[in-house]
Amino acid sequence: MKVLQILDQAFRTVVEEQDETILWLIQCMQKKVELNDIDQIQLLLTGQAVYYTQQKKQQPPLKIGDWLQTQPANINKDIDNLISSHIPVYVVYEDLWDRGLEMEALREGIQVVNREQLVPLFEQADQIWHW
Amino acid sequence: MSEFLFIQSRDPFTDALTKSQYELIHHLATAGNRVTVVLVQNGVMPATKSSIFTPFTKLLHENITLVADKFSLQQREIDAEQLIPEILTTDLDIVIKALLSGQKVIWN
Amino acid sequence: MSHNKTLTFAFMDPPFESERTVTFFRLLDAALDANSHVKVFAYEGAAALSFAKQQQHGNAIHGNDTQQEDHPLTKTWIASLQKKARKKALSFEWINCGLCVDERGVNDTIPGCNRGGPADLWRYASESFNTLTIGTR
Repeated sequence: MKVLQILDQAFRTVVEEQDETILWLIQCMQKKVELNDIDQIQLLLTGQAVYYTQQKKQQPPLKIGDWLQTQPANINKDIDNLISSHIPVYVVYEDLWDRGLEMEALREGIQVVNREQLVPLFEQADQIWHW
Repeated sequence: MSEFLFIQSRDPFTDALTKSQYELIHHLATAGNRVTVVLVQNGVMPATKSSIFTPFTKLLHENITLVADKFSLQQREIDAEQLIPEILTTDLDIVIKALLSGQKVIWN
Repeated sequence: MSHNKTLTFAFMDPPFESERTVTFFRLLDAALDANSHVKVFAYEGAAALSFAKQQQHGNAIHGNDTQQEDHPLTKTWIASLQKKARKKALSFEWINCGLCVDERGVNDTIPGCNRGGPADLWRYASESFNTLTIGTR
């Protein structure tokens, strides 16, 4: 089963969960997927989630009253984990362009697709899970 | 060729991403895929004759079946006669039938 | 269990904040109407949908006491779907993301809703004919 995961939300749970909750979910599921040669997870970043391709630093720690966050999210690391797990990661060019991010360097392993190229991407997947 | 069903819940008047979702649906249909779009929740708002949101017309394509959820319409007191003529009304069983026939069903 | 097809649904929204929650439950109901077995993976806020301590309340603005108001509760909707599935000899499985449950303190769930994790979502999807995910905003 080949499942294309689509993420268009960004910074939705990042502070409270100390990670991007869908990137975390995918990493957990990948441990099952890796056990056979049939299944594959792919990730498409679109909408606000294209910002995740540009993350370089750990998230800023939150301070509320005298409570100080000690383990803020590291989205950069989450994306690296996905790539090193051989999960194809795609990002939509127009969504980068809309946000003025199209000229920024992308980390190795992220594939840029334009909106028309989403057609074959959607066609080749067995299921499409939009989060 | 694939068969897709999109559950379109987003309202284009408040969510800019909706426009690109319409475009993708249009591209899939233009490439020869059969696509059904089920408008639900505030996703039904651009479906009326009096509504003005030009990108919505991309969904009026021969390969796209466009339907609106009866319950969502009732909530908003939109009658079937107020809809763009190409749009029929439906219950959510259309989504389940699509899932059970192996279509790719995507929540937008 | 009959040989009817099974559908998996993954959902992220909490009980009372989103119109998606209503649509999600309508879809589950429609799945049972179509004689499909159902598996649900409740993620993040959806882990509170089956919380047993949800309580009805009166509403002074509506002029109703608790009984008159008969306030909707998602735990009741789940129980109603479980009952409907039993009547039709269909399975209706429900797994809450355990870490999401812990964070929210909603460990006390109604019967038939169990604790699991993301691996269960992948297992559910692998065992099912098709899957629908509904993310939150």
